[in-house]
Amino acid sequence: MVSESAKEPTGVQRLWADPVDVSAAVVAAQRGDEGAFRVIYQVVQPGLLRYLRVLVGEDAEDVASEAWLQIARDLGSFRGDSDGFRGWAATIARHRALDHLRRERRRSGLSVPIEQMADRPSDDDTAGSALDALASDAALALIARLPRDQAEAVLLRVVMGLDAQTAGQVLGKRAGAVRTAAYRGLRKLAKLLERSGTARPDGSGWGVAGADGEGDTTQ
Amino acid sequence: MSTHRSHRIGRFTAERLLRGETAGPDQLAKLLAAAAAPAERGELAGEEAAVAAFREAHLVPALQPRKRSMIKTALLKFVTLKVAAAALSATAVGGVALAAGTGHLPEPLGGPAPSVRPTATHDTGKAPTAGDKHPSASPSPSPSSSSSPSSSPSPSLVGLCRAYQAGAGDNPGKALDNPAFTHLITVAGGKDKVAAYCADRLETRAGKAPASHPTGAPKTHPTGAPKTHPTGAPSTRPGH
Repeated sequence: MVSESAKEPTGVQRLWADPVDVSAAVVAAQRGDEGAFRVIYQVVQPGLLRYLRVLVGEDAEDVASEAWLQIARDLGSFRGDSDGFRGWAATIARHRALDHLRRERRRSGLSVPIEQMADRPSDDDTAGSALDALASDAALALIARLPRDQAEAVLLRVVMGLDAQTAGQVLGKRAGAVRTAAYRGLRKLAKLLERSGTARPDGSGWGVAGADGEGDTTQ
Repeated sequence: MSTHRSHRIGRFTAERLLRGETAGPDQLAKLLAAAAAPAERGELAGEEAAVAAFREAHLVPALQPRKRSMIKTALLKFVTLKVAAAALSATAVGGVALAAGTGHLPEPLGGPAPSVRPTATHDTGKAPTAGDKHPSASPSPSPSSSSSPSSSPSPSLVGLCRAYQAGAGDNPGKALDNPAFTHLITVAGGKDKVAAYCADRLETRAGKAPASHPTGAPKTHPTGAPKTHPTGAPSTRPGH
């Protein structure tokens, strides 16, 4: 599932492309350029949605749209570069997510649905690009099995493209704490992968999304 | 902790993975790559709704000046009359107004506001200019003072007016019972004239002493992500 950009002849194998620099688009959007705003949305939304997927499960789309309402409304007050903008957007999304979780808990007494992510039935095995979505969902589902601070640290780095410093600002932690949480998360992911490492028929090889029902709470 | 297959992932390897470099166990690298894979079309389904919100946000510039004065009033409401009176007696130059302007209000009131405060204003272009011209750090009176040439303690009258407006929302008559306002009442020509006098007074100073510096210079928050107000911003209601 390695993306095309990994084959760049730069000498370093990449797992994903560098985050796109949206600073110019942000400035233009702040001046009312709608096309620039679309660019921002297209660049930032996928990561945002995946981050939210792990935080709030199937309500991710709803929470994301709430986040974009606020992003659009408060765009004029943002100052900073591209990384800063991602951090700002992630912060907004995170707070919407936490608000959502609080409302949900009050309403139904449900526990945080992060654990539900792991049990979410994956899409049926269909060919072609559906496999990409499947792989992405499967990856997120496994990340969702981490303790939340580890999951967030990993997601903000990997999926939102933030550096440790900016991720720390989103989470209200120091960069060192975010780094540690992310490293622990990766180790745990590696362990989860090893443990459930039976290959599935489609060859994805992760055995996630309910195939392995143990909840590993140790680090 | 380690199984027979484990590669113990050190911090260096972990950091490389988090930056998107191939490292560590193959399966883990693939998992992260899948998590960070390019967008699928379905993930952009909310684009039109977001754009609609964007259009709407840019169609209402007329609200902004009103928002600013609302925010000024809201900020000053937190300043009790006692504090205002003390500030006024301490500095002869409309202490409350400058206190607000210099960001000496306590943090929760939006003193030295970070560059991102969604509750703050949208007038991005204007506020920094006004703020920069204002000698916010110095105790001297505003250079572009619109004070009336006749009365000498006019800057303090402005401060009195601000304090009055801050307290008057609840109970105007009672607010004026405070001896601090005696001078203001005298100058205005009576308790019942204070409101109009102050409205007029502050009108001429509008824009020269913004109570909040929402964007100022992004000195301490270059990345824009709020440090100390993680919960304040996103839960605001429109028109706040």
